[in-house]
Amino acid sequence: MNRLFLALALVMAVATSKAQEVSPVAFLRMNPYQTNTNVATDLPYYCYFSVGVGNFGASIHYPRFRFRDLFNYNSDDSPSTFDLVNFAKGLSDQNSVALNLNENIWTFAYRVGDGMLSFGHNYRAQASSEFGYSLFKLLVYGNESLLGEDNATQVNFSFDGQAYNEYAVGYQLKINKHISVGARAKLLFGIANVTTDAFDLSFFTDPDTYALHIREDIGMRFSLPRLFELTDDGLTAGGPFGLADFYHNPGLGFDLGINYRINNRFSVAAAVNDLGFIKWNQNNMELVGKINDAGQFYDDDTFVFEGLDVDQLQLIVSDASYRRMFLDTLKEYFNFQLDETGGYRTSLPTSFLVRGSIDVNEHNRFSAQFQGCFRSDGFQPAVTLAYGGSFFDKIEVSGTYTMMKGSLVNIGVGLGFNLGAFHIYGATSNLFNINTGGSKWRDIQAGIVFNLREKSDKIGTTTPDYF
Amino acid sequence: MKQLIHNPMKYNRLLICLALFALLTTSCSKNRFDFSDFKGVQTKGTWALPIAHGNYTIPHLMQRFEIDSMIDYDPSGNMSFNFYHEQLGVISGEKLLTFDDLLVSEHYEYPNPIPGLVLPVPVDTAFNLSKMFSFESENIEVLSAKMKTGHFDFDISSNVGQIRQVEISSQEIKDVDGNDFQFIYDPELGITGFDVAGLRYETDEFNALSFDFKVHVTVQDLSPLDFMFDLNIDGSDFSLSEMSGYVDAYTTRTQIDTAFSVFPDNMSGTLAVEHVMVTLSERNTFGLDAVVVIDTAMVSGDNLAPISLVSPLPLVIDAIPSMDFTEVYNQSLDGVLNAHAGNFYITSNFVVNPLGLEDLVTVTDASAIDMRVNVNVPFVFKMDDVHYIDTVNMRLSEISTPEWIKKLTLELTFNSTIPFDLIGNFQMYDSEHNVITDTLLEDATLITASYDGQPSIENVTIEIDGERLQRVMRSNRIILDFDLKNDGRDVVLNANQSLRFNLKAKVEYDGVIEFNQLN
Repeated sequence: MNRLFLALALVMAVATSKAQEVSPVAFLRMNPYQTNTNVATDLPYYCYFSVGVGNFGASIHYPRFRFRDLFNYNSDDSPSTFDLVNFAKGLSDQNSVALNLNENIWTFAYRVGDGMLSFGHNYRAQASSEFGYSLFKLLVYGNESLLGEDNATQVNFSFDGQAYNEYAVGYQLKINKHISVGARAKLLFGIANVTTDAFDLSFFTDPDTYALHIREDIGMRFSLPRLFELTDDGLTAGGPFGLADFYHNPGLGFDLGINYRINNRFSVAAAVNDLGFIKWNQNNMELVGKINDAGQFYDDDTFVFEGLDVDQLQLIVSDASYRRMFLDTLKEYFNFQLDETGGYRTSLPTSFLVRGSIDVNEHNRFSAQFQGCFRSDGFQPAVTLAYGGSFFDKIEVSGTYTMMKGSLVNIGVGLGFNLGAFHIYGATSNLFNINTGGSKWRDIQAGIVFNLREKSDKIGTTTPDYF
Repeated sequence: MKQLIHNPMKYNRLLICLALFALLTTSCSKNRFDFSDFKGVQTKGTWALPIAHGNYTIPHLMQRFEIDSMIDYDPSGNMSFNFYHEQLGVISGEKLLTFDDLLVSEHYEYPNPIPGLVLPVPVDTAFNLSKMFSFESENIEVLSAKMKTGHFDFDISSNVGQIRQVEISSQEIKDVDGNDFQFIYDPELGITGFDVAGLRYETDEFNALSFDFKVHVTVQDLSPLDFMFDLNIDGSDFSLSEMSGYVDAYTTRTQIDTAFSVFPDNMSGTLAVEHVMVTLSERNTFGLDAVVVIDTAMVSGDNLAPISLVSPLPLVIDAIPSMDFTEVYNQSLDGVLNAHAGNFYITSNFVVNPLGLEDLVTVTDASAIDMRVNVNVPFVFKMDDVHYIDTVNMRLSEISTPEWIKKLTLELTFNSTIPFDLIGNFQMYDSEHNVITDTLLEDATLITASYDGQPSIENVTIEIDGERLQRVMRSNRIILDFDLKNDGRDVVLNANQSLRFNLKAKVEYDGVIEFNQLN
């Protein structure tokens, strides 16, 4: 059951996200959800609201291989086998699999004085898995090409993810004609979490004796809904699972932002988002994996298999019961321990941005933005050059060119329509999916939001941060 | 174009055409998502794995072949095969100081002076009886002794009334205080005998013993013409812990016939050995003179002339009384032994007190004549046509060999300081069909002799693939056949010599690992 749990954790990790995409929505100047990027953004609305369809965002990161190349096919084109060799060929030295989901359940905002008060409820899931090529190279091609200490296989996985509900209250205030500030406080309720403290494996084959040296150091913490429970039999199906289970893991988060308009053409902005934490209290488990001292093949936290002695070898090839016992003993070296654990705290993937913009005219704006995100695998910077424009008072477009670590060419587009009382939009930050380094990724953000203009402005003429 | 865009129907057609075009150019077959016939994982690679290893010194090898109990090592590691046989109590005082079991019967009859008389009331009276006899022994004449074991049992019957008790006494058997031993025979209580353990025996006449009986009876009917008594004495398990008296010449014959192995049973060939030391020692604690006469002492083996260990024969050895072993024979000899087995065969006569009943002696049951035989064969020999064959049972057929395993390369490395070559033939055998399924190795040099103590290294590679791999995996035995050679040199085995080996494998695989094979 522990292995089942590990597999589950892997699946969870595979189905999670990186949250580093720079969405073109942030540069659609009439889109209310650009406040997700900078809460200080002054919107030209008296109020806006949406239920269910306001903002849906999803992104997926995956290795470079193509789905159809992963399989061999029968004559009727149905998959016959999974081609591990092609799979391995599709991997880079460092790979990521990630999924990011952001669903705006509802939003309501209305103007109060010189500012705008906003309320919202979002469901968010963020998770990512990082893994190297070396493990799969070992598994697929074997260790013959990896003999020697210089070719030791070092496997570093990271599985991190969390899903939570977010209830937000925000206020944006235009202090004067130059400065606009905003802040958003978020009450969070965690649903599920996977945190990898360590997932390190090393595999070394002695070139002379082929002796195998394996070390492992695995430490993962989980907070799961009561769909799963840890019993004496291991992890079993739990339940019942009710609405209250969504509200056991509280947390707090903050978004802060500021816009400063220098003059009619130039403005700068800065924002910090997702500054906060979640305290995980419910159904917490800890998975620990280390090489166990199960006998002759244990040496200093390392599984060292130099071969059998002659008597053992004879028993292995002649005695089925000894063979079974031997294999069972081998498993003991790699036993995983899954135990309940106390509460723990995880940080939100805090990000910040600094942006400078130039308004060429009332319809066209160019921006340059530097942003960074603090994730479990380190600081992830990105630089974006963006264009935002409006046409015919009904259409607005944005285009982005983003460079980020391991993926230098990411071209995104956004398109929005103002159709009376509602605004419909869609965007992707990686239109062509070219030169994306170790992995490919796709994302989409779209929605429909109802709004009431503060005045009968046209886009580009009375946009509050442009004058 | 402008008209087309503003015509809703034509606009829809354009969209449909574009969609169809997109589907035709980009969509894939729906079967591509049909996993109902999905078999497993296609892969290809090579794993390098350690299989077995060992590091054996010569003592370890001797231990593995279970012949280490006869091997001695000196501090420099020099080895010798040492046959040692110790026979304690070839003649023992315990055996000498025993008497045969006894069965003595006597009938007593006395005329009745007043036959026919019947007394008005029962009257108690007593009759006195006596019996003299001897302990029986062919070898000892005892004047005094301390009795170690023994038991007397009495059965007394009479036609004179009812026997109530019998007072039994003996002048030769003394209690711990030196008094004549007395015993009350009481049939009503079931007390009919006594043990003599711990009592002393004193007599003036060799081995003589007498009992006096005072029989208490209750009589009323005095009608029989004769008063009759029947006495039965049953003596058994008599032994002495010490005696004083005379001992006759006592002779016993012994035979040592022991199989031994210098090398494992499966080894054939001969070993020419030199400087074999044969040592005989004896110990005589009787305090009496003794003589050992060895008439046969040899080592024999199949198809080889026996080697006489002692010369000349018969060898007569005076075993002078002593509390310690005395070496009485020490000679060196040369010979040729079978590599695998032989027999030690020694016959001899031991005689205690060969001059017989001349002197008064004291003998204890701890006295004995003991014998030691030691044959020491230095492990320096010449080999001739030495051959070793063994089989190892296995059940490889129980280990499934999937088709995606294409090739198995076994790599053997031997690192040896042993002073002979080892030429190996490995054959796989299917005993169910009685066929050799494959020859893994043929006349392959596994070990090259090391004569200077420097390790010699040999690498042997065995590649098995295709149908051959399947044949090997169907085998249930491996026949290991070795020739030992050393160019006619002296083989000098030493405890510091060693053999290290390492067996590793490369497993090449290419194919589909089906999910149902993973169970």
